Amino acid sequence: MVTSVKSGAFVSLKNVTINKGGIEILHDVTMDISVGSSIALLGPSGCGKTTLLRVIAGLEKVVSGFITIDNEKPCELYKSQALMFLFQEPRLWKHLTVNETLRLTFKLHKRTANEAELKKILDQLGLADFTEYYPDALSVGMRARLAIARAFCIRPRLLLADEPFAALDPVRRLRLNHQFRDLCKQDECTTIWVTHDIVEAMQFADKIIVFTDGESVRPGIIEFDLAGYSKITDPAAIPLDCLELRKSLLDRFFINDT
Amino acid sequence: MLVVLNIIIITWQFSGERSINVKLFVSTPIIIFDYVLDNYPLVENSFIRTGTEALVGIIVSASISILLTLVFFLWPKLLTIVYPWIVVSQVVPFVVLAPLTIVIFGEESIAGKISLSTIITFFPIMGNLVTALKNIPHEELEVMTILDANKLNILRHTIIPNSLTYFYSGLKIAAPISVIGAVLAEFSGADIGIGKDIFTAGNKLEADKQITGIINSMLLASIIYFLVVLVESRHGKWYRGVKNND
Repeated sequence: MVTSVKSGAFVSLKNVTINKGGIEILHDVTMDISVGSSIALLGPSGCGKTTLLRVIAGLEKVVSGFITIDNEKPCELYKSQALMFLFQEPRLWKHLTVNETLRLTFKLHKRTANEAELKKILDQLGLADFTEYYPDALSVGMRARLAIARAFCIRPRLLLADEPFAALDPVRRLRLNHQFRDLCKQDECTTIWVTHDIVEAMQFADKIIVFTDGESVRPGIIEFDLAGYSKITDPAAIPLDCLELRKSLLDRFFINDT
Repeated sequence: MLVVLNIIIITWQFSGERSINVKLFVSTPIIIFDYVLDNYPLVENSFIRTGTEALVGIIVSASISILLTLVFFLWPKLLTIVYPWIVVSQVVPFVVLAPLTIVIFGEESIAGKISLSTIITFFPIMGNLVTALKNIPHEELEVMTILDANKLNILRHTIIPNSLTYFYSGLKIAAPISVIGAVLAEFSGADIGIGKDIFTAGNKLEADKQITGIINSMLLASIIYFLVVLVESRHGKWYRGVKNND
């Protein structure tokens, strides 16, 4: 199955096939993602969304095909530290406080911690009063925010997010999503993120890539451009055209609507 | 704990006064107390010497284990080559090594006893550190990969914090056996030490001296164990470890 999101490809996948434990997860995927876009990956559990994200990040090997990010291999992007991954769990350094975590990130980024920048990130994410807290002492939401703060410390050009707010309640998730999008816009960051929530995808993405369920046929991916649809500002009041799209997605692709 | 200890002491004293056999083989608390008062310099010297041997032994074996773990971290393939040999080396009976150290280092040398204490405590610490190395969460390593962290940073911020619990578990097992190592080494020949006292007293049926040695060994093991717990507790609020169980 082939899909493409044209125009100034920043992330490019060419005929990528992924195997995991002898099982073909994705077959012959070709995809171009343009600079600064926000792409949501939707699909049922186990369809390969996270694997695709990990492959783009260079954390998993492909069987065939190749991936380039800004015409470079993903691992080359580690060196320029232009890529960041937000995992489902925050994966914080348990021995470092909020302040130390961000300072270490700056250090790993070969930059001296800029106090003003540090303060701005902490303020933006509501962590300014918790700088001396260890991750264990933070709430789940705060840990997610710290993971975001760490990600934006390195000012990534490509941010891959694998349901980083899945463990949060809908209200907190929405608030955090807004903060997350603001930071993405501020840094002009290309974002590819996995979600199970169709409304969330329609609300924050420029394009949705849907992974079809592959019980009898090979799993494939299909793209939906949201440019022609109304913008969702309030998830409680979804415009009619978006509701129709949501229903279509649910009917055709067996997406778990959470 | 103190209540149990008091019951044991009272029962022991009572039994020793009633039975000549008990008095002959395990003496009584009052006789032992008198023995310690009368021979305090000897008891103190033995305690310090064996304590030094055990403590230095455990420090040396911890240092070697840490160094080897670092080597395994930098060159993981070495782990599969070297570690089976470390496991196999544990089959060598400890009592065979004791006379060998006397031959190598001399009867009065402290080095022989330290080396035996090192050998006996090495595997619990090394084994735990290898388990730690094998169980480093790959999720955390992935974060470091994406952040392009160098080996030093991975070591400092991923390997060490995740290995500490295992390391201290190993040290806590090693703490009492470091004393066993030193005492057993002294059995084979020593000018001074708890092991020598127990060994010579056993041959002469000096129950008070022998039991004093055993009590001192227990005390020493407890002190070294407590020192490990004390060091472990210095790791700050983030460290949960297993100290809550101690």
